[in-house]
Amino acid sequence: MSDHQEHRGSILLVDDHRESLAALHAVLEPLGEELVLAESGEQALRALLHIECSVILLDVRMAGLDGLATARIIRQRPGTRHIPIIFMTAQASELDEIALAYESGAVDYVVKPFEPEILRAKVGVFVELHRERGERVRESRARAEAEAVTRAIRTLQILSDVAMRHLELGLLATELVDRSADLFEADAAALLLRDENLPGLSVHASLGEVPLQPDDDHVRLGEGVLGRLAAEGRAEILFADELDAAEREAAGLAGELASVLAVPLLVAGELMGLLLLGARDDDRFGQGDLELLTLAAERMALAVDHAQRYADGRLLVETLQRSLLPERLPLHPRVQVAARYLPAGLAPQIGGDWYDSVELDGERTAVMIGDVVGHGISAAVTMSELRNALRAFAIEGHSPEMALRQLDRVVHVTRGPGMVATVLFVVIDAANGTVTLARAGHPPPALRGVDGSVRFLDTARTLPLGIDLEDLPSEEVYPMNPGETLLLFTDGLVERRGESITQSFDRLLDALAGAPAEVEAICEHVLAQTATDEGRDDDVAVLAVQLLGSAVGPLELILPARAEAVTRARHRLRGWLEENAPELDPVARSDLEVAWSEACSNVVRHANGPPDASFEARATREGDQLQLVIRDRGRWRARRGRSGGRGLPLMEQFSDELVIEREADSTTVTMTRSLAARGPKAAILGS
Amino acid sequence: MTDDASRQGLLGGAPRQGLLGGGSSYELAEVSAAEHDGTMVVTVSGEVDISNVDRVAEVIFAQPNTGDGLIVDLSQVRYLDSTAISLLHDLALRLRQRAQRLVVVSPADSPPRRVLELTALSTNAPLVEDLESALSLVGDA
Repeated sequence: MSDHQEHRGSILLVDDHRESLAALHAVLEPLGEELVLAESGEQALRALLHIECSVILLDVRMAGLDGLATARIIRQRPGTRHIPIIFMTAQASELDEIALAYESGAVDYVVKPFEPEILRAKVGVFVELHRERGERVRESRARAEAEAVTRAIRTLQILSDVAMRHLELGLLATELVDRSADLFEADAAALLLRDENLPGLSVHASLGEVPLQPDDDHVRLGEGVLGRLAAEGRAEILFADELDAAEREAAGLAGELASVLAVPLLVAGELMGLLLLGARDDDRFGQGDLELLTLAAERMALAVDHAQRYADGRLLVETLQRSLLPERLPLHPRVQVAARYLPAGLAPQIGGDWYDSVELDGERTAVMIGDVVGHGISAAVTMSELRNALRAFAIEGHSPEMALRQLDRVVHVTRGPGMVATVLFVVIDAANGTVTLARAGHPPPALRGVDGSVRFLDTARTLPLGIDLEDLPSEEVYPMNPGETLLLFTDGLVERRGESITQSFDRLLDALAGAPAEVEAICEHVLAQTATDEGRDDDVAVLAVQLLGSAVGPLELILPARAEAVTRARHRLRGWLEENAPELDPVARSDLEVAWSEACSNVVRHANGPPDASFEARATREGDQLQLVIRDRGRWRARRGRSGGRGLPLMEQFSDELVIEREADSTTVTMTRSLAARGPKAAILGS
Repeated sequence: MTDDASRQGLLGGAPRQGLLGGGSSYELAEVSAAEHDGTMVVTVSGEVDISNVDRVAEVIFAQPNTGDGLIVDLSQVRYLDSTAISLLHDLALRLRQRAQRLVVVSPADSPPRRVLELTALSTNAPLVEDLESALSLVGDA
């Protein structure tokens, strides 16, 4: 070790009891490092002005400046903020004291009296780290100059790759974030872009712990450090310890990140967005990085501008369409409904497909789907009228047959001849296990049995609405058993050029047979198997309805990694707990809902994999032990697996045991909780 | 805040009222706002999670930020997740920068209360039992 003499540092021991200092000295002497003793926080801070220190052992409870306050000051000073601090305390401490210790910068925590061997080993690790770090700095200086030029060229090439020009905005954003994080060795990265309907900038792609407040993906222009940089179009490196608390929070430096490289994306002086790269240490980025990234940002801004212009036309149409369809479908405890709408794949235009669902009473749910022939505003307005009218008839209690007759009359009276619309109206009765349906020119629904068999119901020919007042729709009743799924769809799903209608219907049945169990996942699967973006010239709506059976036994869900799935997962758990753990008190019930939802939210929030990424959520009961397991199944990157914000502490608090297992391609969260009465986990989590 | 900016929403946009979404659809949460003695009170009911927190935020931030503060009444909330907690922290910090305060109503036995306490919301915004206490707290400031 003698040839690395220049990288040695002293070990600083701080304790206001001389006997303790003497004991520490004896334990650590064999390491052969210089030991510096301090009897107070003030003395320690003074000593740090003169020595190079590899690690500090700091007593938490001291007269005067206590350990926590001393640590905070050490962390604030540029010359000392890297130094690892091991806290020592005399008694088994409160959880919140340990939390405070870590918050004020501890890397480790030991309880007196300590095991000499273990303490020596711990301190030895930091001494070694200190030495290695010094070596790294020296070597990298030597290499840096030669590499700088090569790196600049490579960076610019990679970040203005021609291949990226054809990506749509979302993929482009992800690609830019991934590539720049790689090139600049960032621990976290985010690309914020302007949004049509929101002031300021919001996160379009991110990697790792977003260098913003957890769960806040928004920067308001001119507000906070980032907002000011964006407004002024200025690039800068931000350091956590140079900002006051509020600014730190606003710049996302309140968490693990120590520095953030912030570079605005500008096109002809106009702000397009902001690229943020974060590092857990504060010497990762230098002036050279800032200049290089600024140069690359010009090219990235052009690519973003191009993608955004392309997206705008389509976005407008999608927004309008969404405003005409229900935002959410009812979450009935026994009847599960999920739906998806896809606009026409070619030129963006408003379509006439629609769907709706209404809970009629505790047992019956009405589900409707329809298609107004034609596109554009007039089709959309008609669609909206029909949807509202049919919903009203359903709520009034009309049978499907009567409701469609009424609707037919509405079409004749208000629209006159020439307006053609198809409708399928279904009422599912969970108590009787029946489905009653009436159709007007609409494709029949497909039913998947419990055994996985698939078939179409009610295949007779019927006329669309608005054709013939005398030819009235009639209704059919079919049995529907728990576990069975009904799939409603519009003809956009089964019309494909160069394919017969029989082939298309068969393909749909195959897709339904091969789909997962849960309704959200069924919709995703069926769309993925049957609707292709290329050449789809009609819009598509698909809706899955499922009758749930008894919830006794394990709850096993496969859900798409999207926000709505979290709500659904929670409602399913709610129902499951009622049947499988009826003795659970309301507080515990609510705890479990929170823990479970937070775990699901984490998956969804970090989902950055393929668009059809899904996750598994499983709840089981063994005796009086409840186990909740949430596992993502996408192709996640390891770095994305981290959960930021307040979700994780809640999961920890509300379960007896929380285990997170990360593997290369999946993360599994396992939470257990006993049904037996439980003492409070009393610690208050930091804000 | 008596200048022109005071008529703007918290986000700087025009003030806006209203329920979430397009009227007829099923809603997980409802948000409404009303003025009580010069203080804006935003009442949230239902469930707030990652799927609707953005729209809840939109309505809250669209309220005019006049007066001494904002009251968010969560008495009717059945479920609240960490994204909603972050929204409240963020709201409290932003109001504080304008020398205004956020007061949150959440009765002791309501489901969100535990989550609010465990995430130490009270370090940024006082947590009170009912609307009356909230109003008097804002008035005292």
